[in-house]
Amino acid sequence: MTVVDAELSRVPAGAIGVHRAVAEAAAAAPVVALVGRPNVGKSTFFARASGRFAETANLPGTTVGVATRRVRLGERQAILVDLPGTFGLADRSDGLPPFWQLLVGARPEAILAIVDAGDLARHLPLALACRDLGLPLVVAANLADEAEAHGISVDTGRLSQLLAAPVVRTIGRRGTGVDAAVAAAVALAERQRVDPARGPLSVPPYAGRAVRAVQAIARVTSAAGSDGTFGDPALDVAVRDHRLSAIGAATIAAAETLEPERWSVAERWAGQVTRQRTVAEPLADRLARLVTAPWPGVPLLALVTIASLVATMVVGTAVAGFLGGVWGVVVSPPLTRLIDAVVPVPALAEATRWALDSGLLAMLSVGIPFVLLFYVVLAVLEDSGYLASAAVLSDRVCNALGLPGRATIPILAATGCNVPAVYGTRILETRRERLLASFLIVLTPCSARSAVVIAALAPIAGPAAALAAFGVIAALTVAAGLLANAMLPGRQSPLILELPPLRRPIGRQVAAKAWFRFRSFVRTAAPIMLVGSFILGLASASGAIGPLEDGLRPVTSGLLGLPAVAGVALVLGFLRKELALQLLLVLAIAEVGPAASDLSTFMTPGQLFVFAVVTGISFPCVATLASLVDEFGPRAAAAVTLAVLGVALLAGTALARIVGVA
Amino acid sequence: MPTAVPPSPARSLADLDRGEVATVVGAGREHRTRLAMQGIRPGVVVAVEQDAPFGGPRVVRVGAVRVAIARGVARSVLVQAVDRPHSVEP
Repeated sequence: MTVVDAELSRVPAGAIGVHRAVAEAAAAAPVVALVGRPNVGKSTFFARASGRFAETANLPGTTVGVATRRVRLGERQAILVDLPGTFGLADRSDGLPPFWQLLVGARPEAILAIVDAGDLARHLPLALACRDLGLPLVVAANLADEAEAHGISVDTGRLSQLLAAPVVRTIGRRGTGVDAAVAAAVALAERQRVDPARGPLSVPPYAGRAVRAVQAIARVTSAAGSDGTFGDPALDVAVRDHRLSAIGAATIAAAETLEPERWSVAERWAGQVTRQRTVAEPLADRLARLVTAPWPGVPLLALVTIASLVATMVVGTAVAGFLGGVWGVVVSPPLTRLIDAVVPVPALAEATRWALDSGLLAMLSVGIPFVLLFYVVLAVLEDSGYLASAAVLSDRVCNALGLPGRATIPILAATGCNVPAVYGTRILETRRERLLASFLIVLTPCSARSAVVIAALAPIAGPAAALAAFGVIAALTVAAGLLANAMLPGRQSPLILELPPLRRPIGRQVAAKAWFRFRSFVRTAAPIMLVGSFILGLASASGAIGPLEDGLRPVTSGLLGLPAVAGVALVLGFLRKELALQLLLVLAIAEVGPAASDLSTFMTPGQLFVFAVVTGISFPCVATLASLVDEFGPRAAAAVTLAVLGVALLAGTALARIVGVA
Repeated sequence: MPTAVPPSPARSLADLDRGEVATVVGAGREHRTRLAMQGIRPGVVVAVEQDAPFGGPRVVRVGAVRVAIARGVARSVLVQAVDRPHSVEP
């Protein structure tokens, strides 16, 4: 069974997914697959080789999809396939088939294994596993610059003899050796295409017992008329479709026997080909130790976090103000005139104005300044390796909520805007972690909701009341998080994480990654912002508010003890959260008269407190909801929404009784 | 004076002091595969570098890299302390 162009996560177990680009282009050019452990600089290497920057990160497991690029080397053409970082062929990341299926699905005619020149003992086992598949192999001894900074030099000629495969010294971020390595792999792939001599292990460097075990499996399954299997339907299918040789499949089936062999061979060979000089410890290493040490790591983490948020806020506010000013002078007046001229019905014209004028502006003044900036900051933190290192410090605290330490950053980012924070959960490994983090993110008031809390409470009930409201919200969030962790099936797997070295981020790569994520945000949020604003405008222009208010009265007045008009503001806040308070005022003025322009004339401080807390938590705004659907599917998004709504209503009902308004 | 140093008894990785160096003897079944993928296998020498606060992960050096291991996992790793001729703490 071959699946073309399906999302990898949706490929059924046992089936083999083929990226459409690969399927189509493979007819013309040979296919080379890039394989390597996380953090070996594989995506940077791929970007160098193909001239484009894929979404990479100095973090395990960010290349979740499969990127494919066509490269040209002089006369030659080839397809490069960038596979996710992996620890072994049987390794599977959350929601994906085991790695070997991804690899075989790409139908490579050669494998380019990228290893860390400074850490061969831990990187060669994967290269050996690839070699055991019987496909032509080229090894790139990458990060040669970092290795040399540690006084490590590798005898590539000797390693090449041992592996019986070309070995090229490379420095991915500078492009050194990249073309040579790719060219060597393409040459082997072309030869493989003409003469696919997928033979047995040429010179298996393993103990005789292990080799015999593999050969026995291969013999049993490939004997004529045999109904022997590899004990894994996916392997049987791969062999039947000639994607794997019987012996190659047998090396996967016998992984448990072969892996210890590979590791001991790798250690022996690494000792034989590596020369270590004594050098002063590189600065990056000393820094890497400092950032994970309780002192000064913990204060540094606090500082970096606060600085990231403040920078995003300050720069974001300035840019948003500038964009708003320009928009008000340059775009708004002609746009308004145009809409009035084109749309004849006044109510429709008003709704269109809401959508195109204030809706687009809201998109622009949230999207570009806050979201794009946050993505740049996040990309820098990821690519520098700081995020993974620093997360070690907060791991234990986050564990209480079923989350790894890394979740700190997206959750804190939620105080700015929930939408990028939901996309930011991509840095987490499992769906469970990402769902739990997203639940907390949605509970966290974004800057728009915080503004409502402050504006509703500070002028009338005083700043202390606003602080108290935030305290209540924070306590509720933690309690809900603990409860969700206890209720959601499954457990968080405890941390076993290779700490990436600290590296200077590559500007273009940071920009590419931030842009890549920003595009998902715009695609999700922009249409929704427009439609939401249109509906809001229509509601306010057409007088649909009255029936809505009556329908909500049991909840608004009965449970929460608020004036009926507040219910409409809460519900319509779904469309434009930052407008919840303005909506309340506009609606109140329409109903009670101009006297209502002061909140205190129609709501008591107690009612305002309840309103503030419920708005602070309430439910995801429409853009956040869309990002949840985008990332987790409609069912999970609905579950998160209902859970948050439940928390908000329960808390509001209880608070209303406590402060005595209901 | 004994002529040969008797082998020190096996302890868990979580029990080592910071700065101590030890050889891995084995690991509990639950985490064995994930540890092995990080190169923490029998016979490998590890050095305890740091501990995160509040009972957070333990950072150990394995060859060229540092690996953070949750305390609970570290408890499942059996090690044998190595006598250090001199401090190897980099």
